[in-house]
Amino acid sequence: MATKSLNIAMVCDFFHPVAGGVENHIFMLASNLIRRGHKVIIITHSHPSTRHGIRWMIPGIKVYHIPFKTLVSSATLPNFLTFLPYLRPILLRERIDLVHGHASLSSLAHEGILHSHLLGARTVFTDHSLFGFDDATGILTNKLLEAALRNVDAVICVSNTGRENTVLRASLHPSIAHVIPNAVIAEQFRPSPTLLDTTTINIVVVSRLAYRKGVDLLVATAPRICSLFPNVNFIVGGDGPKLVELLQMREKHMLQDRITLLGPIRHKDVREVLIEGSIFLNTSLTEAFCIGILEAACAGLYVVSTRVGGVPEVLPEDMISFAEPEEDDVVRALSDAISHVSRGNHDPHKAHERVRGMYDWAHVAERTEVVYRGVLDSEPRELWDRIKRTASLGIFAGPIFMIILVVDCYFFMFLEWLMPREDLHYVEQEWDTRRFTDICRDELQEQQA
Amino acid sequence: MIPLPQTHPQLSVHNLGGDVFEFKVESWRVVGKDGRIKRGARWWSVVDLIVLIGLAWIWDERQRLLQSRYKALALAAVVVRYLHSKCNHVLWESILAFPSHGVQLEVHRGIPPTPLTPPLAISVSRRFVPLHSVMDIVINEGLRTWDFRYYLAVIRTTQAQDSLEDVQVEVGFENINPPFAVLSEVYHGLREVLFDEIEDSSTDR
Repeated sequence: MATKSLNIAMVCDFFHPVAGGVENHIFMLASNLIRRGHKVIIITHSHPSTRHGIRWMIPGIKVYHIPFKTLVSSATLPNFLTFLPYLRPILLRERIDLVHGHASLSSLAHEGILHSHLLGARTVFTDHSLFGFDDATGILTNKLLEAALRNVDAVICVSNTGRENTVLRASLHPSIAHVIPNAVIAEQFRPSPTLLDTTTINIVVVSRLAYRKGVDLLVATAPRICSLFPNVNFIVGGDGPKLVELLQMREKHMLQDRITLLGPIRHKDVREVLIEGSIFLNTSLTEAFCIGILEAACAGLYVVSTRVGGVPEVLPEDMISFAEPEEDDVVRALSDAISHVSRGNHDPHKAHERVRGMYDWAHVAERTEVVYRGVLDSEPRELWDRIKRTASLGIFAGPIFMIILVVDCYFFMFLEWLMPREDLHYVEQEWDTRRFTDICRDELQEQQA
Repeated sequence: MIPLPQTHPQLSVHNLGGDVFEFKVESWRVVGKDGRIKRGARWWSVVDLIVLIGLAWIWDERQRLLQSRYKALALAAVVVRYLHSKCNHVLWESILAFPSHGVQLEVHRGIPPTPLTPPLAISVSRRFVPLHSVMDIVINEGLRTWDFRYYLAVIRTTQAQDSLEDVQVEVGFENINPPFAVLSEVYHGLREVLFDEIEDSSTDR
């Protein structure tokens, strides 16, 4: 069994300092892989005015910020060739064995997978979201995804539903698609130490207030629940384009004292908001995994959610109530949940212990490492094989992406002449966790003395 | 004294009297196992070929060109610029360490060596950082056009009174950009001279 430690590069547009699910996933996976003894670097785009070049993050993750301009919500334009001159020195100097791209909407990830074969690195891709097939976003991005994943070595999805969706969208062979769900840090989401008063029941909603998160459903059901159950209040955290509609609904039904709108919440404050309630409501219209319900269940709340996407795979049936994504069914499910919790049938601490046993980032890293080893043990594809596979993409897409692939090879040859490998500054010193721990311990002792 | 004679002979350390040390990095380097020397500043380049062809054309057209004053002036400007660039190649860069006084960063420019002549240094530009301004000396990695390279930096308090930043970074060996092994030697040497830090090899990675 190979026990050599790996050098892994995670490539994604979406990374800190922007906060989000994908960003958190990459950070936690990288941290746990480092704990298992591997080296992980992250390649992302820069952020204006201060964050360019190389930064380090605890626990020893090197982040390369490439100076690309972003469009909307941290995504860059696909520029197939302009990423290669930056990627080449990075993968060579860090001696990278494997490139792991994240997120279907990240063009950096797609390009990382396209260029890696020239630099001797194997490729893995993780897909975090579900997409439709008949809407404009779907039609465009599915073709790009299919082209990017044509020659990838392995694909990881966060749920079985996500796996089916990705395999169909990208026309993958199912044998290369794996399922490794997300996880949660259970210590960060402990339930409230004091028992909540069951005379008043708080329903907590924490999400981005966007269309696909089903805010319209919330707007429709909240007034009905408030009129059916006088002892139920809503606490809504988060921000987004649909905040206005929530405010309007609150005004119209005079529910200012029943519905509290907290505005944007930082991730470290989410737990404080969650433990104020007994029920967590998720009305998403589409969701590959939904880390929000996992965090809520971990914090001891009873979950009510729409039955969409990968949501049914997250929690056991006695911790969650499902509803179809329509108003009457959500009201029905919420009513059942309210009576369930009022009777005292839900134990937050037991729920927390169950979630703690089910989800752990260390297991995610272990399973991801198994995928990596499998990829590294397999034979890489030859260039001619890649060209043939790319040509089979379609009547128009095939030739286009084949031309991109071939021009990419020529550009790589040009770069090998322009910036020869003998002139690169190979990385000579790696992050030494033990030495860092020693320095921290010495500093602490000095401060205490 | 040459600390790395096998791999990086372009680095040399000189004792300039007392405890003052000069860490000099010349603009050539050794590549490959066969010890091939790769020059950072070559005395000829493709531009010279173009200039030669240009000279031939100018000689042909000299009557017509010299009649117009503006054309003659433009020509003179081009010639001056060309000669200036020829004399402005970086020959070597040094960092001088003056214990209890400070650090001096120097860039020596001039005419590069030809097969018949040694390098001829014409100009020097120096930056001195007093020791009380020096906050730290570090080796960091940074982005330079398409490449990520190691560089040696002297972090100092800002010179300008009205600057928004508290610190300023002076980069050593900015033009030559030697590899990590060279920078590591200079780093340890500087810290030993200026801050009296002697690294023993057990803590040195």
